[in-house]
Amino acid sequence: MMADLLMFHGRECPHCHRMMPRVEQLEAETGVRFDKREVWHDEANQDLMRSYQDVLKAKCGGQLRVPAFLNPGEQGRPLRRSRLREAQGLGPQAVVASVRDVLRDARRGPDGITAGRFADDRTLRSAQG
Amino acid sequence: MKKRYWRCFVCNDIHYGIAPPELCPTCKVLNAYVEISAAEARKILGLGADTTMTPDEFRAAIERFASANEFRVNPDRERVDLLLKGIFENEGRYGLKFCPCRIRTKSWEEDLRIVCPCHFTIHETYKGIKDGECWCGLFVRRT
Repeated sequence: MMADLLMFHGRECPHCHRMMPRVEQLEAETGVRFDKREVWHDEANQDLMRSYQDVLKAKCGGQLRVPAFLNPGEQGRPLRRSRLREAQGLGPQAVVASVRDVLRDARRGPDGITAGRFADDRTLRSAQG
Repeated sequence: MKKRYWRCFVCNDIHYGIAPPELCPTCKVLNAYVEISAAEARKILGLGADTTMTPDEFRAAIERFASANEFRVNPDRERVDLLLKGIFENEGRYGLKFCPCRIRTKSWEEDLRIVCPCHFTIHETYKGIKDGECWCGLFVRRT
């Protein structure tokens, strides 16, 4: 089955470690599939991430940061952002909800890209009740 | 302005910048720096007895660096250990202590910006944020 989204991650990146179980849970719950590419230990994956650098850098502080999610067919404007660090204070379900919302946005129309560290403000606020 | 290499003619300290320091920070001699080539600088820097650093030495170095600043090394030891592992694997593979949470663009100027410690105080994850941290979380603002 073809993956829906690309995920670039680093083996020694703590954010990626924290995000990975959420992504796997999301895959199990929704059927969305991620093509997970480790970048620091795989030159081909680095090259692949660099091939998207124009869109990634524009949305990720001008740098190639991980984790980063990309819908390779739909590259466009940035999502609303808040720091995932805020989400880390929430329970796993709320985090998954926020990630799901980000990914829903990531798959919609031209909104094709985000950095995994960011989540949607509105979703987090509602998750916090 | 282009950065160049400078050597203290007394103690062989090397400085890389657009201008040399007036006072050598090691031997305290005034106006001691003369411009040298990058090749000379590499030779001088590479011939020292202690040209490598262990993760523990690097941890001590960044703790000294942070002690004079408004941030500190993250107290989460497990996270720091993971980051140091990545930083040293990157140094072994690519020659510099690149951040494990970003990748190289292969532009020399851009890639110098992700060498740890990077200039994270200008990043959106730190600047103006009460409990800000660098992108990878190795450094966190003192609260």
